[in-house]
Amino acid sequence: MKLSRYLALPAEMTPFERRYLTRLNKVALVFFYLHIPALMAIAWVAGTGVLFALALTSFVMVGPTVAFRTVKNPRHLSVVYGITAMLMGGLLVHFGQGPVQIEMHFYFFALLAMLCMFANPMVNIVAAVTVALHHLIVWWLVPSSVFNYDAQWWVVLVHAAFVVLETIATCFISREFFDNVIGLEKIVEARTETIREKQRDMRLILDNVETGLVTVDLQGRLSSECSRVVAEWFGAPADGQPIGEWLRERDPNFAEWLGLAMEGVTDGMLPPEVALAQLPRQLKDGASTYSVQYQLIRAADDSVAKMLVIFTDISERLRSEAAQRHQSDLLQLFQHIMRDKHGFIEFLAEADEIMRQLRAESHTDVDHVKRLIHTLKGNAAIFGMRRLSEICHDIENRISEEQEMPAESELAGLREAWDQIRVDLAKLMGEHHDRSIEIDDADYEAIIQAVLNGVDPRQVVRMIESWRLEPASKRLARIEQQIRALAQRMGKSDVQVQIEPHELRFSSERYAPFWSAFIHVLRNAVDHGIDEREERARRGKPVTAHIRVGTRIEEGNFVVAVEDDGPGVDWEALRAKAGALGIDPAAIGGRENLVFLPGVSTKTVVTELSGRGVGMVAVRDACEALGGRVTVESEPGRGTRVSFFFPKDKAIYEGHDSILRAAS
Amino acid sequence: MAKTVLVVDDSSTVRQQVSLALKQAGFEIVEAADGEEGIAHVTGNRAIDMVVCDVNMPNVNGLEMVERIKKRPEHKSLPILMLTTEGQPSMIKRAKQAGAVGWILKPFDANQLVAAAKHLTRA
Repeated sequence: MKLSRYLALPAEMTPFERRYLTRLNKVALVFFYLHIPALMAIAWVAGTGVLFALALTSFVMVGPTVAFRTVKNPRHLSVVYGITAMLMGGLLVHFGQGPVQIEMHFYFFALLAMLCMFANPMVNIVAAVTVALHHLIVWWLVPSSVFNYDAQWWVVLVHAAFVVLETIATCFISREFFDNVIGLEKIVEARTETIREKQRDMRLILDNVETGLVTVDLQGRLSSECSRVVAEWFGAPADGQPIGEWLRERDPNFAEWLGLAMEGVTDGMLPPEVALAQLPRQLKDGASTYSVQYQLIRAADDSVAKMLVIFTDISERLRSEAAQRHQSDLLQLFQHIMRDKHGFIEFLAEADEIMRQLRAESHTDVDHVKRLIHTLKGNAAIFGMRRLSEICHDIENRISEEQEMPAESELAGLREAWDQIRVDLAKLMGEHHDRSIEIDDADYEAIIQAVLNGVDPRQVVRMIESWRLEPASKRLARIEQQIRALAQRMGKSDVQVQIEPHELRFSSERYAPFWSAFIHVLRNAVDHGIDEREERARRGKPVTAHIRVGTRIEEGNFVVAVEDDGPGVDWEALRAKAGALGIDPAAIGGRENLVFLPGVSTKTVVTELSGRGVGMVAVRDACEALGGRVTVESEPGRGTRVSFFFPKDKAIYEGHDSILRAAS
Repeated sequence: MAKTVLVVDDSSTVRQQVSLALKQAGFEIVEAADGEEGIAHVTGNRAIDMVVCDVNMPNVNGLEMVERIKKRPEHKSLPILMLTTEGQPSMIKRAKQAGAVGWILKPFDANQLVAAAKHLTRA
């Protein structure tokens, strides 16, 4: 800065400066008036003329008093008072003539320093010039008024040097005072404006961003500053309101977890990033879902004072993802239907029945409900209904963990999913009631032959009726596919499935409940009945595992058997597991029956497919409901065979051959 | 000296996952399948530096296990970390009141688990 600009203050005067200087000028005036009695007293002591002191001092006071009335600019008035101060100094030196006259000069230096209070270098300079001129003039005219001894001319220069020195210092002090104290208001004003501008920009962003932003302190108290959408979604938060309270009505579960997790963040027992990771990530408010993220806000010294909470509305995204999954599920469904329409129709009927049961009954038997859901889950999985299967799996998990009925909301979710499937199917297939019969060429030939050969009409009727029955071959073909699908899903690829069909036909309606529960036997065979490759090699078994499913007539019984060449049932493990549940094999009629107990399974990992110990019970129940019985034969290391014996009755048809042979 | 962590969960898959994560970080692992076994290990011969435990277990569940362990003065400072799904905040609240240090959500992040274990056994 140039010297002139430094010494001369900038033109603009802040209100603060004006007020300050006005006050100070008043003080100065009073201070000068007090010199009248003071100088009179000194004149009386020194004997230099009291009345003269009164007159001269009053005369000097005319100037400043008039200036006080007339000079409008406080700074200019200060300058006048600077001159006045120097005049007063001169008066003191004059009236203080005597032994301490030299010492009276010290007053000038005190006054020069006091003039800094005006925060104006010009005051200091004018005062210095004044005192220089005044000193020179008076010394030249009335030397005794200045010195009390015969001083040399250069002594004045010594005085001058000290004044110059002090003036340099006081100019500096005045200017600093002006800049930093008087000028403080300007600085503050400038900074406040910058902040206001930033706030305006910030507000603009907050009002237009589509993400919900709020800040909380570490106790979870909100600040009222938030982005506009948050106020729309959840209502504007009140300053200092706990965030749990603010959100409690929207999603109480979220609010509770948030509260707990915030405690975890502040109590410091876990490392901060771990505690933060336990904060809840999703908020459900009615039909809308929001993802929630958290960001710690660090101060300059790296300490954490606040946390930013970021809400994003993902309802749309979730809906479209669900729709996509739905589409792909539908496609899969379609493929399955095309592959095995009858099987699918059967599955539908059974699933409808399960849903009806779940809807209707006031449920008290947890196990029963669990079994129903378990069956539905497995079947849904086979037919590629992923979502349904997942829903069932979750409900089943919940029942297992908490040993109580699933919540109404969970069942409602299941019903909703099923209803949606029915709607989709109606679209895909049209409501298809199987009112037509398909007969293949063999049936066709056989009936013609029978009529031509004169077979007893009642037998012919039996042959025709058999068209409505399901051939074992078809059923077994379907079973073969199911096993292959299961094996593939479980990642067991080297399995060979053998089916041993028969000319048998049976009523698919009557045996339907059995066939759908039968899945569990297949699942068990795939899950437990296949050795690892090394084990097979060790035991000298062929490389590929074998699973054989067959139907036959034996001593008046219709028999369905599933046989594997795997490790066999681990009776010891089953016995131990049953023991842990407090069940004694002897009490239930033999170790065979261990396999049929709910909750008993040697598998500790519960996969989607099996492991809960529920399946076999469902099968046995279905078998016994049809008047049948089941046996389990197993040799450790060799394999397992599960056989179902049903009494031969009208629902079983042995095949055309026996009738045709009898006729010819 | 390696710190020993007791893992209590009725699912062997979970126990396996926890063991794997912690063993790789240099911890020794002891497993238990329910609360009763867990308590037996804690009160047994082997020094246990930290417990990771599931909330829902048969026999003796996680909450009861925490309560019973914390009743004993010698285990006042034994850190017990709960593993839980986002189902029941009330259980976690009670577990914390009983003396558990905190929880980690299932499915858990291995890095977080290791960080927590290191922090809790740092003494």
